[in-house]
This record gives sequence, structure tokens and C-alpha cells, in this order.
Amino acid sequence: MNNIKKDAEAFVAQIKSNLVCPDGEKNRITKDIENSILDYIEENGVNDISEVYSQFGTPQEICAQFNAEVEPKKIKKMISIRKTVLVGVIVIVAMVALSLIITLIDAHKDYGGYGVESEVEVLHSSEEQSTISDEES
Amino acid sequence: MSQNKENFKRGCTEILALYLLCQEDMYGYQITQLFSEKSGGRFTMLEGTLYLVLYKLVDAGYLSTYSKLVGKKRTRKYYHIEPAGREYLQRILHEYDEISLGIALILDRGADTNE
Repeated sequence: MNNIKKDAEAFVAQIKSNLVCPDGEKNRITKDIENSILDYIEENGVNDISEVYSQFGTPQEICAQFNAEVEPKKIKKMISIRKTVLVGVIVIVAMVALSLIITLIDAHKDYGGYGVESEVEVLHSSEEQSTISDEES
Repeated sequence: MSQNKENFKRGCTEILALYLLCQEDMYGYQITQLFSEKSGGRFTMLEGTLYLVLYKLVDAGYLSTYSKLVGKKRTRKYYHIEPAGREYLQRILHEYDEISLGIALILDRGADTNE
């Protein structure tokens, strides 16, 4: 029974990924279809996912029924919103990457081509220190 | 299955679902099963078609939904017909009777057609 339930979950996940509608609507549809599939499995003692396919159709067929009802204008609008969001994300990532590269190049130049992160404190031994102070005097 | 048959069924689903829900509250799978049983297997329906009709009826305020726990975790959504839904059913049943009588008259199939 657990295997068929896992198969049913995968079936529903395929429906979800193929639906073209707002997320709220997607959740409502997939939840209802999932419930119907589970009712069918439980009431008929189904053990094989192929029986679900023959009763409900393929995930693509189920989605086609719903997608056919969504107005073409809505689909176009959703696709254009998704495209805009995608382009926006790509532009932001590119700008961040570019500014990071510029900062690294500048830092590289500032340190004469070496990537120095902090100044090094030179410690001298006490003998060396006295020699240095003698030379200075 | 022919496209004509599908179109006829789609047109009737609203009336049939509302009619069945007048008798008792039901869940989606139960409605499709009753369609099939009561029609002797002539009126089978894919879930997608039914849910689209149910969603429209819920959005219009003719049906409401509530959830019931089934087993330990799963909840099942039941559909309940509202008074506005019963009025709407009477209206579309009247329209259906008128249209089917008209079609029967055109096709010369009416048993008691007035010539």
C-alpha cells in the first residue's frame, strides 16, 4: 500500500509541474485530484499505478483539461510575469557578480598585484632590536 | 471518446452534480462514481472535468465545501449545496426541459409533440 501511495504522490507531483495557473489554484487542483486518487486506491484496493492511469488518464491529460479552461490571456500574462522575474533575477545576479569581480581586481591592483589581506607585523629579537636602536642613534 | 459526447457531458455536469448534491453532501470521487453507477456506465467522467464545474459552482456561491478527517491524517473535501444552488438548479432544470423539448420537436422525436 505504501508503494502505491508513493507512486500516487509522484503522479500528483507531475500534475503540479504541468499545470499552468496561479499557485493557489494549483494547490487546490492537486489536493483535490490527490484525494480522488487516494479514494480510488482505498475503495478499490488498487496496488498498481497503471490502474490509476487508466482511471484518471495520464498527468499530461489531466493537466490539459485544466489548462484548456484557463483563458489564453491569463496564460500569456503568467508566462510574461515569469519571464520578467527570471530576467530580473539574472540581471541582479550578473550585477552582483560584476561588482564582485571589479572589487577583487581593484584590491589586486592596490597591493601591487599581490593579494595581501593584512599588514604583517615584523618582530625582532632583543639583540636585533638593540642593533637597530644603535644604528638609529 | 467522441468530442461531441464530451461536449454534451460537460454541459450536463452542472445540472447532474447539483441534483446529486441535493440528496446529500458528497466528495468528488463519490460524485463521479455515482454518475457512472446511475447511468449504467454511460456517463463516465474524468476528474478534471468535474472539478472545473465544482470550482465554478463554489466560486458562484452555489456550493460550499468542508473537510472531514479520513483515517489518521487525510482530510476529504465534501461539497454542500447552498439555498442559492437549489434555486439555480431549478432554473437550469427548467432551461434544460425547454431546450430538450425544442430539440425533440425539431428532430421529430417527441412522444407527445404538438404538431
